[in-house]
Amino acid sequence: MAQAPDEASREEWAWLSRAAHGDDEAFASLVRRYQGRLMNFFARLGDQGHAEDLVQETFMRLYRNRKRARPDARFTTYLHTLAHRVWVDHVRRSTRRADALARAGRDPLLVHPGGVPVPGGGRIDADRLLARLSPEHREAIVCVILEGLEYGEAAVVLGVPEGTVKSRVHYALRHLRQFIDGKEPVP
Amino acid sequence: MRPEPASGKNLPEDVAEFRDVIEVLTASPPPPVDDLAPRVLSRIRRRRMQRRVVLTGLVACAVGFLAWPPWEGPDLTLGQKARVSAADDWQQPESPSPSSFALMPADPRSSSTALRDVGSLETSLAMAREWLIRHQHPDGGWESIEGRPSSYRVGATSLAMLALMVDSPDDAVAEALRRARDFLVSNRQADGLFGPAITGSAYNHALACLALARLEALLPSDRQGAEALHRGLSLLARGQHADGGWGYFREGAEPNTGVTVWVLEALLEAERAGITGFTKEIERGIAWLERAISTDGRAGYRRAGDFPNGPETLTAAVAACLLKSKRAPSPLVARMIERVRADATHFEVFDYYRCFFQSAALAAVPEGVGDWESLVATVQSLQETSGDDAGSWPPIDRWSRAGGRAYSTAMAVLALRSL
Repeated sequence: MAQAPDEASREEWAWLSRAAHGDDEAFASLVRRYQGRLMNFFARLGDQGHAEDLVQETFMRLYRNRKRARPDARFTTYLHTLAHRVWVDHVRRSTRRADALARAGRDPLLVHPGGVPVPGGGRIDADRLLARLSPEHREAIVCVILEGLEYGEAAVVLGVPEGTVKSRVHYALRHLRQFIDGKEPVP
Repeated sequence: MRPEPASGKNLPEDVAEFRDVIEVLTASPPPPVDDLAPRVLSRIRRRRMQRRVVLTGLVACAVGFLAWPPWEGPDLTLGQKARVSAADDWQQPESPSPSSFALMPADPRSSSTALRDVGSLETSLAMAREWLIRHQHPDGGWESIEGRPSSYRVGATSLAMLALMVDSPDDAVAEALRRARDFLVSNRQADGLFGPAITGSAYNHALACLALARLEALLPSDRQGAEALHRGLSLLARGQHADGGWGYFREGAEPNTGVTVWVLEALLEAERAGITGFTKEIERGIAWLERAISTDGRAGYRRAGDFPNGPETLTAAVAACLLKSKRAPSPLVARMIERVRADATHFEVFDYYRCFFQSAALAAVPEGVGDWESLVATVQSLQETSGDDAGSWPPIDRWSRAGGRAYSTAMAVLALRSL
């Protein structure tokens, strides 16, 4: 179940409403409040190189929807739903691009999100851990653990039942625990 | 606002046992971020300006429709009326821009998916526009191959101009187009041929005529540009072979489909801009194209059944050209469209040139909408989104060797707008 808007959220919805009436500064306030969080969202989903472009695209979609959006949930849930759609489109685009480049004789790994090798040595960090997960498990972890969304909110963002989010988070964490404990070989 | 990881008080109860894993996950600092608000607001304001331009075009369309309703002239379509209107007044630019036509119901780009994706498509086109303007040389032209002398600068410049004309021009684009027109005007031979006298002149010349003809309908006419265009068109008319086709500009060269299509595109664009006097050449050229089509709907290179480089590009090019001319028998075009649809979804090697023609053909018929969307998404996906080349398309197909990044970018933009 999505949470009702809290005080911060009410302020954010008010900013969006003012933006819908032509107040660009109100929209700039939303951008400034959420830009870092969305950068983190896209970077942890696996494409730090394009994160800034994806953040901008998310805000452009928010702007296009400013008159249609209804404040019946927390603002962050709404924004993350848009961000997740931007991510899905980006992955789809990147897959097409990889396919087209492969047909043109180029190496698709150079452009596929997540295909760029992660630098670093033996230190375990969030990116190395997250790279171990399937895209679905990774999205669930990013939403619930890193972005702090409730299960119900994450379910709205990802477009799956709440129970599915719970089980994905659980299995993802169990998988990572095995990896950290050395029960699964390092790639 | 900093991220609110769930490692603290709001950790879901059922995952508390994984606290150590969660600590690793949440320990990494978030990536640094500049203030994006100025950039986002700048994009919003640019988009607002574009909407105003499109709305102005639509209002002009609506006024024209009310002033001259179709029931008072059943022999003319709205598009034909726009052309007649332009022909009546040589100095008057045609009012609806290509982008405003894109919103008309008969156009498959007005389908639900196209509208749903219009935002990111507009972003792609805006980025491409910026790249093209940034890479125009001081002499007004574009390089076909950066840093190397090339015989195809006129062709690359003409394609870049066409790409800049897919939407109503703002001040920066209009200025770039004026400088490009001056470049074309000053790069002519004594007989009016655009570019150097080489075997491939036909492409340079036909593309320059096409770009200048389209510019005539978009910006206030320029005397030197109009004169260069008229001489160029006359040269094309004189170059038509006895059988109605066009070939390379050299002795003994047979007519071929590639050159014939580009010449016809230029003549049709001139006709659209109100320049009369080439009807006979157009009709003979169309008849030549029709003879190059096999009964199975595939177009040949020098004649029906002649496929030295495969039939896919030629079939799409001829289909697009016949549809644009509105002079071809519909059963024939329908057979070709079936071919184009099949080719657009099953290709072995990526090719901007083929995509451009396939996009133009598919966008022109209602049954092509689904394949058109898929094709456009593929082309869009190849756009560079970061670094110095952001906004351009990588020169990866076989023709990019001659045309370079300006060519690949222009062809991709034209494919996205299906022009």
